[in-house]
Amino acid sequence: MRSPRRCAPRDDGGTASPSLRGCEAAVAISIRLAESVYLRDRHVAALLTITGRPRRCAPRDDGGTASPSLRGCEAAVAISIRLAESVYLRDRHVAALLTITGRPRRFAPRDDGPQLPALARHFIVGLILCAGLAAAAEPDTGSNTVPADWAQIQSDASGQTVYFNAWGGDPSINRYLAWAAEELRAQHDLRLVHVKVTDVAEAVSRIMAEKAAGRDEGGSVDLLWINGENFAALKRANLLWGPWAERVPHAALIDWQDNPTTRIDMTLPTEGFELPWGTAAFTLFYHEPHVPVPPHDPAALLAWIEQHPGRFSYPQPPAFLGSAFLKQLLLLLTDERERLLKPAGDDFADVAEPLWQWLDRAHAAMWRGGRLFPPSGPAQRELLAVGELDWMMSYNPSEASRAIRQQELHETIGALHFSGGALANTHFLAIPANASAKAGAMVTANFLVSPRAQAQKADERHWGDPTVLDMSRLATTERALFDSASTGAATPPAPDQFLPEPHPSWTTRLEAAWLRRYVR
Amino acid sequence: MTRRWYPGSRGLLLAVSGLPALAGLAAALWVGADIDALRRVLATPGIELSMASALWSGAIATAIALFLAHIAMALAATGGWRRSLNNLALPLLAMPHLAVGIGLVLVLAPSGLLLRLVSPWASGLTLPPDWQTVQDPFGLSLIAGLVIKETCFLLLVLHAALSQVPAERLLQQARSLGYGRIKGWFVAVAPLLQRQIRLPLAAVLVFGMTNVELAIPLGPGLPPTFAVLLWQWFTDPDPQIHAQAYTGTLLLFAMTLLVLGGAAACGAAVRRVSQHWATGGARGVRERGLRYGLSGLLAALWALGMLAVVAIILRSASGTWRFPAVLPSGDVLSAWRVLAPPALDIAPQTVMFAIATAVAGLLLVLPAAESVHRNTDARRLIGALLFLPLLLPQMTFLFGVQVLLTRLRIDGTFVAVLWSHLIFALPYLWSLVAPARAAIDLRFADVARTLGASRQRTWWRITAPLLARTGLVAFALAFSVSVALYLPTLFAGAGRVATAATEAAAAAASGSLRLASMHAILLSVLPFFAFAIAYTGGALLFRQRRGVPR
Repeated sequence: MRSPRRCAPRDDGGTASPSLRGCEAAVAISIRLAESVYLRDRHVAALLTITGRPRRCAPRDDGGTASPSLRGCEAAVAISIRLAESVYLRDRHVAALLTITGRPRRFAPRDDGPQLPALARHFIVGLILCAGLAAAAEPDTGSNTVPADWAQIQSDASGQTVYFNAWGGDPSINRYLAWAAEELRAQHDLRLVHVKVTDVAEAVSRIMAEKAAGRDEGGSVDLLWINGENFAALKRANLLWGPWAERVPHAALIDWQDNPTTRIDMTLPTEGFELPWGTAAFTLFYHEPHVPVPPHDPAALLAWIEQHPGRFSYPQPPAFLGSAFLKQLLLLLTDERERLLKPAGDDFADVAEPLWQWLDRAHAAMWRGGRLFPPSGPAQRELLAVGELDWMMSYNPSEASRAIRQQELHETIGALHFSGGALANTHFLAIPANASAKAGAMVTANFLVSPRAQAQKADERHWGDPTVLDMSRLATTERALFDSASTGAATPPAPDQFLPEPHPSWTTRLEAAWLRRYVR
Repeated sequence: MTRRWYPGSRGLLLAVSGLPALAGLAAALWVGADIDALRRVLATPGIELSMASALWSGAIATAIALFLAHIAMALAATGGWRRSLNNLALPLLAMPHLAVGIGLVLVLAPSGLLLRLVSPWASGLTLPPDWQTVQDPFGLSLIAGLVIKETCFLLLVLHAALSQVPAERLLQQARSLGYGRIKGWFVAVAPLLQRQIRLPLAAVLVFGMTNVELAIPLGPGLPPTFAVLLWQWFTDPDPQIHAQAYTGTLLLFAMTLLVLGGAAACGAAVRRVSQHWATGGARGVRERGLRYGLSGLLAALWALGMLAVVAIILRSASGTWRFPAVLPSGDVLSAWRVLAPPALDIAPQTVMFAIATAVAGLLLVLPAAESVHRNTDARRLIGALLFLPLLLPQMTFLFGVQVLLTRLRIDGTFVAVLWSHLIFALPYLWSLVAPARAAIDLRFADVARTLGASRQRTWWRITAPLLARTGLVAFALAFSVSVALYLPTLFAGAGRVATAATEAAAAAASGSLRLASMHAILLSVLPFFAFAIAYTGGALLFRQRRGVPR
């Protein structure tokens, strides 16, 4: 974050008295910067939290405040400073805070404080530190332990209202959650409210804001649909309640063993702080008439590509699905799969070599001779739809079936997972530490992973999201629910094996190396 | 001397446009001057190709567009169909760049409309061939897209400039000296027109080099043009890469300065050559072949553009559309029934910003134009200053605007979005209105004043009617500029203000060509109506007047 640093310490002209204006400018610039790159990590969350700003994609109802202001920032900084001072923290973070805000220090000002250019970063770090401190300093109240007795939880839950913050961008998902709410009302006398967020990071920042404002109880979010970065941010800040996930009754049915992504969320162990809800697996789709014998491993795919010049391509890395394709291939081609779970190091070139050999051969026979790639996954779907390509790829196995139903793809589409295993990740349910209705949230989560709810979710007429349950642990009648669920012809059966995502450093290295190799 | 009624109008106009521009430039220099980032930028694979393709496609497209615009103007003006020319260019002028880009892909790609029309009965193709007809490494499809859009834009500007040139008289004079009509036009009229469109031409050149709207769908992909590369860096979460983007925009800015300098030199060379040609004595009387040839070229280009419009409409309505079917399958009405409501929801907001921009822009421009109508130098200077933001790469400059708006605590408000739209509308308003005002014969006002009319009355009774036609076109232009603005709306609106442009871009980015096409239709229809109303309104208002400049 270069710009805020430079812009922050600008003298403000006429403002003589120490004011927070410099801080505001720095924060505002940082937010702009962060928003402009759609950065949704903990820094942005922290920034948004302290400034009390609605997210760019957040049509949050802000009560009366029509025009966005930075006033929240002042309050948050004041709180943070008080917090830091109250624990007698005398390190460079507080110094940074004090310097930026131009407030008189309570402690003797040291000359060797941080230099101005580093202020913005220190500011962010300091605030996160303060948030962490606040969380750590908080006494362990009884409400923060998970009750053991499920019957007790169920009776607590009855009559509660659960605010479920979940992405609301898809009408069929919204309909599914409305169905779940109706079921929960009938079975458990529990009111489930779907708070439709445009991005879950929105809810994450709200939780952080509540924490900063000292709202340790009675928070506005009871249940979250979450994974990856957002989960990591909340867990790091100690803002999640738990561990609870393995104690709900239906957790016993989850496929913990064969699908490691239910336990490890993008290389971060979940440790019971989130409950698997649905899964995603890297899937290849093809135009059936041109692919009579589907290739189930990279070698067979390469053979097909070489026999059918110009009919295969993949999204151009670093497009999300293009990078996923590289990772999927590397996982299948390498002998050292375990190596990929640890950060990439000096052996990168050796480990990645089989991938480059495969790609070098494939590119020669690919669409446009491997000198042009579809810019994104959806763009590739368009090319498959008009007939320029015979292949596309997605993380959602039911993508093609859904597209066919929406008349965006023709009907003769087949699908496959590589037999060596599908690159996979899982999305989860989590409960914030300050949730108001924890019992209700647990009951809701338990319902959402019940065989009935999972079967309904896997049904493409309702949603089409693959289940996290282990079929072998279900009773026959429960398994029948899944058999009767409608899956389109273009949806493959569940993969034999799930391959967890490699450590993020591999993605970065692969993308950079790909560009160096193939941009000419 | 009575007190003038437009005190400070020039200052206000320049402040509205100049403050954000200066802030943008300052911010760009501030954050972009970074040796490490520069080193990383230069070490990017394919960076030379990227820069070269941006430069090449922008420069070539601008040269071709300028040439074609002059040709079209000459053919139409001397052939008596100048008014039809306007009507012909209108649909393409109204189409936003993004829509033209998407449309051309739908036409030119191997699976596009052109090949579908001849397949399989003539070409024997049942599958789209693996030809690189769009996103070709030489940027030819990008150049085609730019030429289609910019020729229409330059035509509009030429048309406006025509009001200040006694074209009829000059042409008659040339004809009486024995020159053919086309040669006569190019000898006598075109040089005068060219002198007046230099700034819009520079803006076209800069846009050609720095645009992403056309370069994303049509430009080369591996590597993309420099502007697209920067745009990708801007959307990368890694702060290091982000820093590269800022440094890159400075490079891009330097490139545009160099190219503008080069263009000026080229202009001088062309001038010298054309002087030779003009004074050579040849009369160019036999021009029928030339006329047909050039008309054919223009017609082909126009047809290509119109096919893109058709393709967009087809795509918005289509279900699946496999090669080689000429028409899409699926229920057209059901597709529109689903897609049209969200597109129409956004229309009132879009129109509101567009009208506010046009009205506020005219209110700013008219008094200032009034104050400098006797002072050509001041007029030119103001024009140049207003154009400064358009000569900066949009991304850099908008970052500065952002900072400024946030400092004033008005980001995301109506005023902020309006302001950001004004920055882009004002130069065009000025380039239409100010010269038109200056071209009004000074003696008219003098006569009115002698007859005892006050300044205000003189303005309302004499100047305003003479300006009305230009004013209407300017209004439509400002309207269409506002409708098409994507990045400014996004930045100044803090993401909370949605217009047709932001929705179309969002749909295109998410890969839904169908929804994007739907929004693109709305994006094109609104300005189309604005222009249509402006032209017919002008024609109706003054249908019995000959001397009112058009």
